[in-house]
Amino acid sequence: MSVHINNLLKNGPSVISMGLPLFGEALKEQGVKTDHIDWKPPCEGDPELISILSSLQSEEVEKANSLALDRLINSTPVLVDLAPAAEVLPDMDKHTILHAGPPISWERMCGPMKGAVLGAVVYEGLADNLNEAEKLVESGKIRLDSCHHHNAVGPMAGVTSASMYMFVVENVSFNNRGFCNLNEGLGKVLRFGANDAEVLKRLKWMESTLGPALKKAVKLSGGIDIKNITSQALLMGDECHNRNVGGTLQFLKVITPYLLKTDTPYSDIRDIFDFIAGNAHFYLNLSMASCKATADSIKGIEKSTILYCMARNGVEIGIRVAGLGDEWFTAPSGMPDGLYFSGFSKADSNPDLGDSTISEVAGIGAVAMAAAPAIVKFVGGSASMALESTMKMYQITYGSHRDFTIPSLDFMGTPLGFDLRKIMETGITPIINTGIAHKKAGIGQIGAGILDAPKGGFKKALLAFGRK
Amino acid sequence: MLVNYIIKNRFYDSVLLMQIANDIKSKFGFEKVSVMMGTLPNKDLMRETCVLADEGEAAGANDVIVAFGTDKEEDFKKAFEYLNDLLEKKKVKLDAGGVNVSYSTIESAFQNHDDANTVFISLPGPFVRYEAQKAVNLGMNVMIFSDNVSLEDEIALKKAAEKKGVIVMGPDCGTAIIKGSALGFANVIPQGPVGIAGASGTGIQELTVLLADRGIGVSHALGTGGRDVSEAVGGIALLQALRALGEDESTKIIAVISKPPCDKVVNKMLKELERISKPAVVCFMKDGELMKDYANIRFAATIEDEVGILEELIYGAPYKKSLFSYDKEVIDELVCRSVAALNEEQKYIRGLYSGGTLCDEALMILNRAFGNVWSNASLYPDRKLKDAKESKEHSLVDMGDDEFTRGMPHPMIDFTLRKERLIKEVRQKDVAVILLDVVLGYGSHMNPAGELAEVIRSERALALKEGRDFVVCAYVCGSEGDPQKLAEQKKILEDAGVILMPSNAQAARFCVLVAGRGKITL
Repeated sequence: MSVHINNLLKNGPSVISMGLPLFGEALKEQGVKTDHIDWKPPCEGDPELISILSSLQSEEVEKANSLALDRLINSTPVLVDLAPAAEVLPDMDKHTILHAGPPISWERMCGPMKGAVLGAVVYEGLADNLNEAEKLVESGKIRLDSCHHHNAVGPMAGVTSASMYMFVVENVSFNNRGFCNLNEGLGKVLRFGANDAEVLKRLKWMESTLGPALKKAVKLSGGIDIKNITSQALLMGDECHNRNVGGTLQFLKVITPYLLKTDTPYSDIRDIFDFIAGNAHFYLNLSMASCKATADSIKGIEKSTILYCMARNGVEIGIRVAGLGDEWFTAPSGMPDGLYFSGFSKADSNPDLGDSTISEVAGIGAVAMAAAPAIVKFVGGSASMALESTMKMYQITYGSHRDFTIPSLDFMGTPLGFDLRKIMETGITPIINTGIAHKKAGIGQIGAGILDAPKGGFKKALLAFGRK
Repeated sequence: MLVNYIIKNRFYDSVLLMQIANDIKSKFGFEKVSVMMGTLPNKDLMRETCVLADEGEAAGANDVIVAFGTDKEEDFKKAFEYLNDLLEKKKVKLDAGGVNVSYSTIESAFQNHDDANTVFISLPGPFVRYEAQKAVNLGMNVMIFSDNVSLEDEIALKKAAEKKGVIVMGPDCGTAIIKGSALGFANVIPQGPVGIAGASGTGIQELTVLLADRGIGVSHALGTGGRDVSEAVGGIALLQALRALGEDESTKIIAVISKPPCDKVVNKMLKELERISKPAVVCFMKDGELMKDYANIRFAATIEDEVGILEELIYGAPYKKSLFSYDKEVIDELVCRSVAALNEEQKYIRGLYSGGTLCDEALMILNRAFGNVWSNASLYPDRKLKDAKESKEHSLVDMGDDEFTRGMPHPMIDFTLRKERLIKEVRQKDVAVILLDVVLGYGSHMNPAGELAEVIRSERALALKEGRDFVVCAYVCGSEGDPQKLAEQKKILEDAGVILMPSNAQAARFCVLVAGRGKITL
């Protein structure tokens, strides 16, 4: 019955100490194995939150979270198709424009998102120019909605409209789908709020040439396992959010033979290769669709405190928690620290934006920073800081991945499953890797960087558990 | 025989898979082991080396093929399970990659330190339950040094711990010694036959120190926190501790030291001791009639008596009670000299304690002698100091009590409050004797004697200028092995004119003799 006490007497103490360091030091002096915890008051000392947190330290919650972790690990996202948004997204039509992050009204949208929405209205032929587009949107005839409400995600502004081709990724383990549009490249692009003729021309080419050709190739392939590409990309120095060099290369390698087997004209194939090879982030959107399909598999697991969504609309960051259904818990978006293209600075940057944080939710991106020493400049310059970022994330995830591994950590699995409880307990919030958009519409990307997710939404989510 | 297992849809680095293949080959002694991703070139290779079976032929580029070739067919399953463990249960080590991480939670520390069996908590009281509950859930024993933990929290934690088979020592558990290791405030005591369960921190310290002084070692000393033996908590931890000591092979004799428990707990405890049937000595720090010895259980009135009985059980020579260890002449002379330093006005004893049980013990002795002694720790409501910061007549103050430690370090760690109080007391015209405990050991201040000696010296100089003096008597609770060096600490105090007694009870008795000018009976 009291086997643990008896073992203590038999083996002597082996201690984890918290509080006054002197007691831990005294034990170490005696040769007792002792680890001291760098303790901070959970929930910043708020008694109401602590009492909710205590109530969540139960076997039920543990069970729910293990189930959630199992599903995240055993998800198998497979690229099965590409198709225009209106054809494949649930509840999607010509007059609907989707955006990143939690839902937000036109009036409250940030500059780059407004720019992208107007660009999309013109792109869809609903207006002839940006001015008309603005009037149309202001008239309320365009339905604006969150990508997440349609099983989709979009990087940065995340603006997605009916004609845009989507990656269709099926999580074959749990029969759900995730969607994401195709990546346009870097610099002046719609997702960063740029919307001039050049941007729209590229989007049209993607719709008429790139999308249909890839669709045929994917159909010929019988489906492409994206999880395996991500696993390999992590071993190639990507973290699959801010660096997608290996992933893009792997995808190109896999798709090439099928693409060549389609009836796509040689000149188009050449353009497609040029386009993908010229965009080191091409894989990002595909990876995001996979992460979405993976993360959604835990949605609705009763009692689970694990996040299945974290997304920003440039004004607010919103999170959703497996055991709390559809509800969004929001806080003002943070400001990234980062590196800027020449001529720009932090003063120009828009608050944190985009759905790409679905990556961290699914166990890649910032949590896997240790795998990507090539991008350490974003985190302050040293490889050890990349390692520290990953190590820190293990303290707020419920577990680690089985298949996404980090070679420099002896193939340890990446941190997986942000646990609301641990976030509130430690005050450590998820690290986010991100691109940085100019705060004005129409300019586009000005840099890339990193930030810690703001705390407010997590607090609200914990309070919601208290009401349950 | 050749067998192929397939792990569907999983990618692993080829070098990692080769390592694992080699590991299995040497561990299980199979002739052929090959673990590869099922790409076309890999399958060609496996075909050539004759390890590809039909299942392997059917595998795709995203599948892992595991091939074993051996006549030890019975080990196939075990080897495959072992391989899966290697692949799946790759443990997260937070110090991997050579980065120094600080642990933010018990769980993250436990991840690296998975043989941890005890969580030691000295956090502010209101935060204790949350952390302790998590430790209990993880199957760890908990020692809660903190006070200011609510009774409700204590009961909830102890009930949960009992269910889980772990012990929650505390809250307000200052002392434990487990297999020779000191936790919290505890002394360096040789290992030996006596196992101690105590609802009293300094009680355990004095008991272990006095035993060590007589060459008797201790197997373990488990603290429970004073409130454990109350009716509300019901002695959960004490009973758990007794059971564990009963089952512990290194424990030959059990000693219990406790503030007076409620009757219900006394009954349960005695029943448990009887069942365990190892010889046991019980000391409740309580005045009044002793319970009669029965079965394997003997009762002691004071810690000194308890030590004496334990000595008798171990060495055989019958224990004879005495008031002082020193000869009568020595004590008489010391009393005489001390009284001579006092004037008519100086009548009262002021005890400034850092150890609660030691304070209780002194209170018992002073009450018996004078009948009217004030204290913040008094068991008698009509003799409780209204304001613990103001002494009157004979007063004994437990400065380790909650009201002194809220937001302040314990008086064994930090001497600021005790020094201030000492200065205040010796400047009172009617104060004759200061009674002190000086507790050494791990956790305590590294030079407590030095701290006290300094103010005693300067205050004495001031007093002498005014044509008066005072007496300071102390008990140093320390063992030869303590990090502060017992002999040095004693010398520092003696050099400052402090009279040292070999036990707390004797120090209290000595003060009675001095304050009573030899006319009071002990």
